[in-house]
Amino acid sequence: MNLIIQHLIDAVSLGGIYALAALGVGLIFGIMGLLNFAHGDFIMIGAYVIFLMSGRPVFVIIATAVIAVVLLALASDRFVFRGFRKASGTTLLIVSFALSFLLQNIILMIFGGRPKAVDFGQGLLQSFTIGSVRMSQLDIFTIAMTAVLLTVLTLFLTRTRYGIEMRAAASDFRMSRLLGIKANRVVAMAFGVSGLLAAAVSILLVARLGAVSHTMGVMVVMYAFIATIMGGLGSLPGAVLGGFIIGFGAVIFKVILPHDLAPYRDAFVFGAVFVSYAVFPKGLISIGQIARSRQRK
Amino acid sequence: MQGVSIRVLASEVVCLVGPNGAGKSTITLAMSGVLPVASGSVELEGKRLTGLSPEEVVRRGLSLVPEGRHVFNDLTVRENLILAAGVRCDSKAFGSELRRVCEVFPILEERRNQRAGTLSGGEQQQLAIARALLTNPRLLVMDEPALGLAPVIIQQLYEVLLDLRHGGLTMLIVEQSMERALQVADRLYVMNCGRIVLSGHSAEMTLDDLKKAYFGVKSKAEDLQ
Repeated sequence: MNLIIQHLIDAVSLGGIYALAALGVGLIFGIMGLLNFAHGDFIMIGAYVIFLMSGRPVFVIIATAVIAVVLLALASDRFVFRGFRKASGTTLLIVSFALSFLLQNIILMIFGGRPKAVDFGQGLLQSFTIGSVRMSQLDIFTIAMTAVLLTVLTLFLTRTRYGIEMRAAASDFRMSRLLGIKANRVVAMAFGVSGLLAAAVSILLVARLGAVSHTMGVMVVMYAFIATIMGGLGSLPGAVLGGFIIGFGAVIFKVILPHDLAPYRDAFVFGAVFVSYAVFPKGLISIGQIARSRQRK
Repeated sequence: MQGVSIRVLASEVVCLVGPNGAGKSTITLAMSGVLPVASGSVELEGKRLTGLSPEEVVRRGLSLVPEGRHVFNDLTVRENLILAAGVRCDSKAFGSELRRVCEVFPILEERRNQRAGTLSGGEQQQLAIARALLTNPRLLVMDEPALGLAPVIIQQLYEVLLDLRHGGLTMLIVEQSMERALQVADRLYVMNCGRIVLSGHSAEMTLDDLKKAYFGVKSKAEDLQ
């Protein structure tokens, strides 16, 4: 029983990271039809900011990482994606690939290809026991941070006019514009929020891995894409649900797979996603907007 | 579109009639800035709207209720309505306007906390029109507001629209039903294959004239142009 609770905490913690990443990806997709591959590199840049700031007070490190990644996300919208507002989803995907490679190669040129160890959040690696259940502070911190961020974001999306505008735009972008909602403002807000979520993932990942590398965002964003698709592209609750399911799937396969097959865990997780997709082709929470005409202008 | 020219005078109801594929919806989308205009112009009260984005067009006073209603299914009725507040500068005026619109469509007040996706087709259409009214339009363009609704609901809906017309609202309505168009419109345009094939005051037209133009049969009705 204790073991199950420990695995459950592991799953919620890992699922929380994927849920935050998937929400960042899903928000941008819902509003502008862009599967932003560069989201993983926003996470990576946040991690490098933490690396550069290491040694300073934790609050300063976190604030700097958040500001840097939000500004990067806003800048990518203003200087990269805004020029492609009328482009197809495929073109936008290629543009996001280009941005992703650009960011990775800039980091590669500056810091080299070898992973760098980071002294951040090492205190959180200690474990403690409640009753006879052993759990790590990092898992609890991850779960708490995910819960706080999801709560704040939910309040923003449901209680504020800007949040309602973002939900409307994610649901039917053209109709939201026909009601006078300013497209560029909503898209910029979505990039800002996705930057904030990417920074949160950076913080959690660096604390978990203790190292940064220029490709560290690639696998996370891959999981985030899958979670977003699994939950139902365009559905924000679906993205969060998909993130948690992927987290649970990863932990379950880690537990049940024999030692020899453990290195192929990701293949098993992706295989399970294929099965899910065959059963729920529109995702778990479909908002029926996937095939809508994406006339953005 | 070829040589299409449509005028809607203040406080007038004008119906645009035509078969599927005639170009009616294309006209409404081009007017509201969703589709680009290759040539020609869209003007409202003498001011040019051509080339403006949809959000700018609605700010200048032209509001579109597109075909299919397009309410935000996951948002509540109230959230759907307050989205229109962004167009208004004065939030107090918006509050009183919201109350007034809910008096016109009382079902929306009853269902204010319900998700729009759970409303019936008629209720969704009322929501779509109410939302457009809240943008304070000087010209309300509606693309097939009766589409998919039961006859009794259509009748109720048109009663409300005619009340709004008596209140001075100017409307351009895309309609498939020739009978209904003749009943409600001050003037009519019949479109076919991207052209206006008949236009005039509804009082001067018969259903037979409309049918001939609608189905592309040449008749004396063309003289009315």
